[in-house]
Amino acid sequence: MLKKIRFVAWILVCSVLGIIFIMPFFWMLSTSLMSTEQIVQYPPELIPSPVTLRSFEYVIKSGDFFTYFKNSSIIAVANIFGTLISTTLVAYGFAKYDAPLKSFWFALLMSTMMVPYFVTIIPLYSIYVNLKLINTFAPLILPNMLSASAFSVFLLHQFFKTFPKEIEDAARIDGCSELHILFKIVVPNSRAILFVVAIFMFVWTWNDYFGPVIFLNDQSKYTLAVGLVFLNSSISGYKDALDQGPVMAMALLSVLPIILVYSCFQKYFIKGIVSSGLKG
Amino acid sequence: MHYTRRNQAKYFYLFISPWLLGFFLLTLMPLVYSLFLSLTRYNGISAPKFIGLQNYTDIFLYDDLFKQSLINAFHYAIIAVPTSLTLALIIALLLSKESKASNFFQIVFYFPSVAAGVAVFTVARFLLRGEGGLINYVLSMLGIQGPYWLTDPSWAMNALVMVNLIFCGSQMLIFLAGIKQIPTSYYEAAKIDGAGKIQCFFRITFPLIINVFAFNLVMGIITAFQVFVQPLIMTGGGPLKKTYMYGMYIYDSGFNFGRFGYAAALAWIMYIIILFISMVILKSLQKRMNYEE
Repeated sequence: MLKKIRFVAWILVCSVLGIIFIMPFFWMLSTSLMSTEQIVQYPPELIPSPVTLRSFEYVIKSGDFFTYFKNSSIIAVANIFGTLISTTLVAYGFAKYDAPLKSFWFALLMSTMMVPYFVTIIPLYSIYVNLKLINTFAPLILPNMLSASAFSVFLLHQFFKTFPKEIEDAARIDGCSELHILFKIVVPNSRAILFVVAIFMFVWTWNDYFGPVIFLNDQSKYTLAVGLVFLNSSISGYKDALDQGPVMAMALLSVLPIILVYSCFQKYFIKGIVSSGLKG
Repeated sequence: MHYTRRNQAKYFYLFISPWLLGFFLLTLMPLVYSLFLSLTRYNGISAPKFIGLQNYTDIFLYDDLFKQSLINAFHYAIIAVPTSLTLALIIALLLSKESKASNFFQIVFYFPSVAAGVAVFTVARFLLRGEGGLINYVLSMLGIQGPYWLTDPSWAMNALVMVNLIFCGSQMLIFLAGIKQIPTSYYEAAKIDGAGKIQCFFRITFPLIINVFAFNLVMGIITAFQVFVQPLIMTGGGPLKKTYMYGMYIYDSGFNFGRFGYAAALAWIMYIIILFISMVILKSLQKRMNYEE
């Protein structure tokens, strides 16, 4: 009996907390389906009735939603491939080869996590201005092409270290080159961890606002995050500032890919965070 | 076999060369360059003009906005980090027993951390409206008159901290992983000795996750000190600059006021503060940390 009561209390506490955590997303969904009248009335309601798609129509017709979406996608895909290739090489190097100064370089790599982006952003901006790369995607992609994510290197490094040396040695005796061993033998057996790296990179670049807002000027180059803020500020000046419909519709559309990826692959996300923190 | 010691070093440097290149071009060089810029007057267009330590003396002696934004950043970090760590730890303890339901709730609680971004902050702003906002409506049903969260100078910072709580998911998962590594036999032994739940937590659980705790604490402080997008979207630094964070001041100094040298100096001060705090925490926890692994 006591056990049962405790279980019910546990479920209750978790559910209430859970509802609070999920509320913003539920609000996006329900408000984006409401009419203006229902949104501005008090007390606020949670269930749209009647259901209307007018907010989505507004976003798709009046904004550059598809341009933003395309830009976000290009940046995300480039970052995912860039980071997969570069961090695989780097992590494998750290995991498998001995060299003088190796631990120094590794410590240096990890310490880059502590460098605030505010320190490097100003000189980088001025460098990119001189290279005429402002208002292109290059500043948003280049770092990950060059293995900037210490988190990803760390994850892969932990995994590659456990890969049996005997298999690699056997391949070496058969005359395989080092790159061949990595890409034909190790990588195919590391799909799960590489997938973890890929989905984290997707989420980071998709959510990033700081980088795009600094490096992109033209509306035609905006990502979804920048576009959402732009829509929000262009609406809030008007009399219908209380009508959150369009902003919520766009917010929902911009997190939808994250929701989809997360609901399919939550296990990989959780695995990634857990293995990164435990060794820290 | 060609796999000699010297060859290994060659391969090592070949494989890590993308990172080495990135490190020198995109981290080290900018760090050095920004240190140089911090000693100049530079508007981003004409050549930087060397002025020695003048930016720093201006910052420390005459700049009220520097003081205000630094105090705000500390204010935010001092409440946001402990509250978020405490909630993360409580949830981790709640979910520490393996079960289907607990796995489900892990997924739920971690989700906002994954989706954290402009969209969520925008919704939070609507939910926190003083009049007609959902949160104040719920409070009014409980007979509480909710404040103007984001426009009342004495509440805005608390509102930011409150919203930050729903992003404690990754810290929670890291705690949880640490807790799950503790052998259950420790608790059974403690139970036989008559230890209560609270005693168990302070005598067994906490000391054994001190490493994880230190990691979460240091990363939490580094992130909190650089907080930027959340206040930018939710309060814009207002009301009355009460939530104007240090990062926003760096950003404004450079990109809005065109004082890049000054901004670089501000950024270096931030870097040194972060390094200093991290070192102090790690040093003070070092004695208690265990390096069994």
